[in-house]
Amino acid sequence: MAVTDDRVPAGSSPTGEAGYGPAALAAAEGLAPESSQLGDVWRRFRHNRLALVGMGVVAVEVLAAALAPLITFSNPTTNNTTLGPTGPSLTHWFGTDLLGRDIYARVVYGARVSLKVGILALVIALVIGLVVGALAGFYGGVLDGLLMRITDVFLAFPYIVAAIVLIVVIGRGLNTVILVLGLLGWMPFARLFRSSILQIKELEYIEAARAVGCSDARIIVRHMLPNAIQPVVVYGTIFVGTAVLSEAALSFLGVGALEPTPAWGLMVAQGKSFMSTIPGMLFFPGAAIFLTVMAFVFMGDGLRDALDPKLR
Amino acid sequence: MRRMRGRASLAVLIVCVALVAAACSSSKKTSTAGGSGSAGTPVVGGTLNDYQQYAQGEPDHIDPDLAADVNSSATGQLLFDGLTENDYKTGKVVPQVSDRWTHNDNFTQWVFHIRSGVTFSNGDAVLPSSFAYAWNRILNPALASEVAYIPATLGIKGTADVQAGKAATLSGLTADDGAMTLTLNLDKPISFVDGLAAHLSMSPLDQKDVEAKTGTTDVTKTAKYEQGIMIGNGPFIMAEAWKHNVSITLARNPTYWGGYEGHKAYLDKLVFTISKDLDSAYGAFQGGQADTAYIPAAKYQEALTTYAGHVANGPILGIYDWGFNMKDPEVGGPANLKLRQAIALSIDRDAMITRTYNNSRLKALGWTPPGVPGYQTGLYQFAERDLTKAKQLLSEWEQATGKKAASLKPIQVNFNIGSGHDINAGIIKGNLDELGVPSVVVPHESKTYFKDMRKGLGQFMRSGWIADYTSYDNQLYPSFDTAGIGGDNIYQYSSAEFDALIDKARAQTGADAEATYRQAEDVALNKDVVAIPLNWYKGAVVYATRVQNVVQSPLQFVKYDSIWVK
Amino acid sequence: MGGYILRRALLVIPVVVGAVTLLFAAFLVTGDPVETIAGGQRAVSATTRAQIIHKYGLDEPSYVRYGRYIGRLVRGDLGDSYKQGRSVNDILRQDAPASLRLAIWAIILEILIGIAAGVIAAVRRYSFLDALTTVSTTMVVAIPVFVLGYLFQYVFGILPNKQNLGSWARFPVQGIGPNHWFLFIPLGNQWKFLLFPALTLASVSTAVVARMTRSTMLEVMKADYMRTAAAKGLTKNAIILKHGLKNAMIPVVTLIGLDLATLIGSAVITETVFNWPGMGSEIARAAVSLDAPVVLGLTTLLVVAYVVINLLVDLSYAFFDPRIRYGGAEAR
Repeated sequence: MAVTDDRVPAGSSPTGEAGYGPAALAAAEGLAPESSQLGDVWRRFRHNRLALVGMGVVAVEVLAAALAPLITFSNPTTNNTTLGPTGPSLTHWFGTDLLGRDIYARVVYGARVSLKVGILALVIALVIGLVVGALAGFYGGVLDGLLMRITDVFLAFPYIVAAIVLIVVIGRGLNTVILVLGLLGWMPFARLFRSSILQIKELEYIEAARAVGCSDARIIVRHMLPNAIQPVVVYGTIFVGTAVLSEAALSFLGVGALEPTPAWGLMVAQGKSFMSTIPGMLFFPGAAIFLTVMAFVFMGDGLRDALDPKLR
Repeated sequence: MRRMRGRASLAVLIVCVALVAAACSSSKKTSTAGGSGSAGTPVVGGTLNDYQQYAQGEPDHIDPDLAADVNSSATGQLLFDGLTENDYKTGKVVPQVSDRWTHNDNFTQWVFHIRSGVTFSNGDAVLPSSFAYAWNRILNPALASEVAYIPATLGIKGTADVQAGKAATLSGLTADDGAMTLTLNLDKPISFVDGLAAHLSMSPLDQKDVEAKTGTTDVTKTAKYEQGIMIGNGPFIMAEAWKHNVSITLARNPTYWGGYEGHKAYLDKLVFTISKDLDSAYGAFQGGQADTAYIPAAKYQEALTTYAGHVANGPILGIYDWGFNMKDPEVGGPANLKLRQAIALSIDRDAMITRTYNNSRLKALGWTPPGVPGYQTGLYQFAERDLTKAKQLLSEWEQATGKKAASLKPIQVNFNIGSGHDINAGIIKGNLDELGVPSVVVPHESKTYFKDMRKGLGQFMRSGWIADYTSYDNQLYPSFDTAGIGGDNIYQYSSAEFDALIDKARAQTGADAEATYRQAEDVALNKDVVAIPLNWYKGAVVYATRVQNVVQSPLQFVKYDSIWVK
Repeated sequence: MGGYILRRALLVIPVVVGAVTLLFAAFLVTGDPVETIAGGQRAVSATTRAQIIHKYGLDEPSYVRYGRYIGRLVRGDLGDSYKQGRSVNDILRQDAPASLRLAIWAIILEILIGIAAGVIAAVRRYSFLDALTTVSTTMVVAIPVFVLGYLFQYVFGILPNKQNLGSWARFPVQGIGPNHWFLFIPLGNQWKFLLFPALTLASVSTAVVARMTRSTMLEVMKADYMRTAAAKGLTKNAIILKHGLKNAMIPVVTLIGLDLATLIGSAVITETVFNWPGMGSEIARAAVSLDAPVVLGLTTLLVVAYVVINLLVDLSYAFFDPRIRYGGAEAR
């Protein structure tokens, strides 16, 4: 998973479809779409226990993010330097960090930050990927060649290095991290959309739609996109999970979120210096990252199997 | 090492991961309090695996004419000896390559007598002209040296012409290789030329060797000298060319004349390992791979206990501060004096010391740190936090100006990213919240931070200064004199009273000069509240039990030629 | 086929040029190169500024500088670092071998561990062992790489020293050590310096290799020729090893080929934690200090490596798998 440091592109398969980066795990197992009813999907999904657990973890995280002010007892960014770092206690369940901030509150609020990073980055990547992939697939020819070369250029950049350069150019902060993860993450989506469109472009019902005078945009949106939804859902699920890891990697390199943002990655990157003295600073946000990534990956696995039963 | 250096080292290491930051400068320890573990008679031989000097990345330069920060200078310190030296233990100026010097009554002419028989490691004699060559080279704009301001501070006649590229040599500098004298004629009186002469940038260079190795007399191109094996006159020689991002390896200079301590280096070999990450370098020490390490602030207390007796943590002549842009209408000027006083009293210095630095620094009780001749304790009036008084001053300011603190546009708390500055900015913001002054934390890229601050783009700005040489002047002049605006005076502070005191002090000596400098400090810190001194640096070098006699100077340099290993 | 190869090879050019152009443009709008060259910490005098501008040709219009840069690039001259006083070619000569060696060994470990795990999981599909390999390889992915690196350092470097274990149990915490190799084979105790950086670097991709092996194995095992082999009376293990694994290797080899290009440039964190003098951390350092020539030069090289390996991998399918025919634009 590229996302972190040492990313792996999933590589082009023999058919020329490449997976990449964040979603490498999903791509690793092929994503051939196959239409199925939602009910069937759910029936198959819930048989995958790991995926169910993953979904549970994600649900808890969403709840925590939504209810953060109700389930925490102190402000995640208010210092209490007199208190300083402490171990877990009844008042501070996860203890307090260097500046006496409640780690439990920071981890809970961190769910908000992480979901924001994952989802917004995904949206950016999806939108760019959709536009590029749809244009390339639908119109083909020179435009296709040009857009695919641009996609190649972005794929060819070393991921972390490209991220650092972009962040230095744009300026630091959480919003930049989101933007950069999106800007460097759209390529697999573009390829997925493009190949989905190519697959059905010549099918009869598309010809029919064209014959009755549907506009290109309408054909793309109404008929072609739904065909690409399944691989995108799988890919996107894992993308969100691994965005959290990317945020940690960038924070470690000093180009991630900024204090006092309660971002898990930043907390772990800071906490690594305190492993032996204030282990809670590393452990709790680290566990949150760990569980989140696992949860999204397993959920992605489950979705893939459920959407594409022939692989089971 | 001059402020720049301090600054540079504080500012530059961007990927500095240490949350807390041990001062980014990787420096070390001790001097006065510090030397340690000096048991028994020196043993000659052995190799020292040093992981502390370059624990956070490689230096920008090692050429003495280009090295502008502590890390860059550390290697040059061992390869080159100047006219004088700051004694590593006491900080006092002692004779080095020059055994005696004289000056006229008003300090405008200085004559240095060079010891005869001192040679570069290749056998070439160190002559007065070796110094003249180096000084003309560093001032040459073609070399684009960041440290040219040190020799420029001397104001040798003709400096401006050389710096403008109009002349190749200083008209006021006479090198007489026959009489072995170096004569300096200055534009203005300077009473501490002997102290300045100890600085690395004032070192001699072997012109023949520089031009032979770089294959050119073109000064621009001699900048590549440091890429090969530089020839110096210090206790160590380069055993191999600088291996970028890997190591700098030195060996004993077998022909060294002894220096002010009168001995050659004890070590056969000194390997500076260049690390990318402070925690990892410290890990190498814990794993027995390294003989020395710089202690990350987060592990400071732990290291003091675990390696008791093997930590060099003496005071360093460095100040860490947060200061005001005096030209800013919101916080600068006489009208906002009480606002600045209120802020100064509201900042919780103790929290920074205990939290950010894990007690690896000292609370600053003034700007100029102890160890600088003339230091007097209790000079700073706002050293103790007093929120009640701060609030009172704030309301006086509100009455006088008719403004409401609560409705101020949030004051920018500017800092460069890295080294725990963000933690301190968070503490300051919390303090200002308590005071009732709105503020906003504004992180800047390290690469552009000081450039922007020099232009007056900040409001309440982090800064720091590590001494270039032991002198009160070097503590005050660069940061607060009107002449420093556009340069290191990022506060844009311009006070006729302060400037006059500096000029006065420069023509005085001894206790008189010191008293005048203290008056100047009082004006900048207490009367005008330009900057808020927060803490003084301390060394944080840990070394293995087999390593003996580790001495760190107040300028952050370790005296490696005095170290021996068992 | 020949035409296809030529067409694919020519496509490399726009990708490389596009990458260089993007980077060049990014640095054109970022920072003041004079400040970077001069150190950036002190005010730069007008004379010095003029000298630097002249020396580096910064007074030319940007399109001239761009043209000049491309011209030098074609001749293999990557220019001089703004910060280091040495040429980018020198930096490359030092960093590239270290990067390559680390990447090669990361891939070897990835293959050994990943394929073994994948085969086991596929053969014992839905068993406890299957779940265990899937979960454990994923777990490694979910730990931030730097945490894993510090963990290795602590357990195998620091702890043995604290416990005074013999030298057999001790591993160096960081550094490239003696840097003693025959090609990429570590000599002497060099392997001790290599093992944990390589494992750390391999950690992320191992899960991908394992999963890919598992799923392609499953597909292959369902294929007709497997049934034929079974009909011929071969034992199950022989079938898996001889036929299944062989056929399943195609996508895995693809992945590994591309991984090589990527791991060289993206090992930033591993290189930082283990103080390995490679290209990734060099580019990262240069990017943060706005040392444009270094970023441009090294990144261009990585891009070239990536597209060339990509090309070779694609072409190699034709030989591995005769069912694949090339034609038209890209397949699909």
